[in-house]
Amino acid sequence: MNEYKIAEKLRRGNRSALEAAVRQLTPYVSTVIFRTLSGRACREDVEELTADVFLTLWNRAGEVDPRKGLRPWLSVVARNKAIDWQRTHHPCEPLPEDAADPSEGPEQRAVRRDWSARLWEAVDGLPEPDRSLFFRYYYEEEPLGEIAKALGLSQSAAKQKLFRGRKRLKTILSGGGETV
Amino acid sequence: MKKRLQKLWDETVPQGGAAPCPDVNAVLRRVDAALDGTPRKSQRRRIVRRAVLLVAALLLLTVFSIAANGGEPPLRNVIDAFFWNSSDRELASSMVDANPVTVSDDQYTMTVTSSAADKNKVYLTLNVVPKNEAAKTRLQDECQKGEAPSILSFRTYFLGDSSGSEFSGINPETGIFESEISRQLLPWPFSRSISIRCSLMEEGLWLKLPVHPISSVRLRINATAPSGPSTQSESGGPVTIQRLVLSPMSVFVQYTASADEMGEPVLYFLWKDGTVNTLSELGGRMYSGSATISGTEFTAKYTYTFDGIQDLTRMEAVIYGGMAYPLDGGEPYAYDTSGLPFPFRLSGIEDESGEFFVPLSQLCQELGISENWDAESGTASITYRGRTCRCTAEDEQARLWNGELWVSSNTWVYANLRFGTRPVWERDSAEGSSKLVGMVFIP
Repeated sequence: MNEYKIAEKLRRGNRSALEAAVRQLTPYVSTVIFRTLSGRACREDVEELTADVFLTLWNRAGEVDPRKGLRPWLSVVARNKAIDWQRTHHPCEPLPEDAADPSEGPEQRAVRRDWSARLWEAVDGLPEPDRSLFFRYYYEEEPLGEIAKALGLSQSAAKQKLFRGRKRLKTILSGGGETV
Repeated sequence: MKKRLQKLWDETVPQGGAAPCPDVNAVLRRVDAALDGTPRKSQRRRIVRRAVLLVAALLLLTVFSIAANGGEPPLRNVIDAFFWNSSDRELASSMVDANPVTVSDDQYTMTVTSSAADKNKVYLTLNVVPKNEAAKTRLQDECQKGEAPSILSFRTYFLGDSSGSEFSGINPETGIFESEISRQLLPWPFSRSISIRCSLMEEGLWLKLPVHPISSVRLRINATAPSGPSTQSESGGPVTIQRLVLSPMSVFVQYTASADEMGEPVLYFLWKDGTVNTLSELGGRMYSGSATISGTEFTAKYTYTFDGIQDLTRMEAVIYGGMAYPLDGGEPYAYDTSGLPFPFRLSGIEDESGEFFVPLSQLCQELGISENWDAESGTASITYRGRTCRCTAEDEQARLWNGELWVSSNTWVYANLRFGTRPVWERDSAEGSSKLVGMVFIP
């Protein structure tokens, strides 16, 4: 089901359309949330916020213009939700580089939020087109062929860039500094 | 399949663990829980309104009954008829629509006196009152035609047949036809109403009953687990649950199993205080719905109705295949089910009257409890789930064979120990007939 059909069905209160929207657009919504939070979020935060965005979509489906699809509307709502969330969730103190993996609990979530922010920053610091390639492939889960085409790359060149980029990110996140 | 961000995380982040990529199913569970689990404000208002109306209706009914019948007790409602084992009567009453819905012609008045519905089934109590002696006689004649009076017919959207707890007949003291009916519904919103007709009334006269289902919780289980013995095989084989919808009244399960083995899912219900109940303990011993066989696959869409209204705000999770699926949409987690009651199968014999008996000693052995046999009085007693059952060889539901007491699995066990039972038939290839040879017990 494409996005426009989903929007139309949602306006008619079709619950299956909501499920289709969640399945198709969770990567997109979560990426907007990541971007707004500068990557500082753990899985549970993102799931909570993403679910909240789709619940708002369900309750206010009448506001969506089916001709424009769902993304523009979802993007605004996701951004606003993430800003509200940030206001009520005070960021923790940054953790040391060698922070151990503690048992499940708030500490572990804080560690994961911190590493998530570091990964986001590292990807954000990549030169173009690698930066777009990484965000669209890993966060938004777009098909590689489509991303490569949009960025003017061959699919094999895109794969090479992903491979080299991963190595670079690993070096950065391991505290080894960036090597070019 | 591993999410892309998780792969990137695993390869680049030294700390490892769960990447911040959301799990789509977890998002769906949260959405479902929010939409299905908590009654919306308008529903809450409706529940309060219904409670007020119920009290008013009960008062009116009491006054009416006393005036009309010289002190007869008020009419049974759906709680008395279907959810008699409700521990929280107030909660149960809040789920009943006690607004009478009536149609009338020159001869009869048909009234749905109470109804309740979830997204799986509708339950109602109904009566047909004759307006004169001729109508009364005709009603009696019609109802004496067969064992099951067929003066009622249904229209619009429902699936499957009635549950086992139905009752229909003429009250000999009042001459009024009374019926307690449940019907499987098509998924909401296709079942906004059901229409009922009494064949003795004017042609084209239908009673239209609006259906207002109470909130339910949809759990995304999508898991396969052993079923325990079935009526088809000793092992029952694996069963995969695709969909489970839980309400205070019932649980709907859509599942697939092998057509050769036809296992049934083994469900447990975990309460917030840590106690665990089986489906049978909550009264869900019988099912209604539809099933199909396609090639080697058996697919069932069954609704198991509880015998009491369950307070889902006190329930933590549904357990299936060693995993607990929280009702609040939280992440499923492992739950040790060893030691919990599990279905078992016993062989038995059918006596000349058609009653089927299993040995009490084997039943106790399967349950891990002991029987107390008092040789002097010839009485056996067992205590299980807080209930003590006593029987003697002279009992109608017990027999002595080869010095051992056998108990009827059809009535005695079912009623007293809260079991589900399924008959095991064996086909006699020489005679071409089938005979009952065993019983699957679902504790």
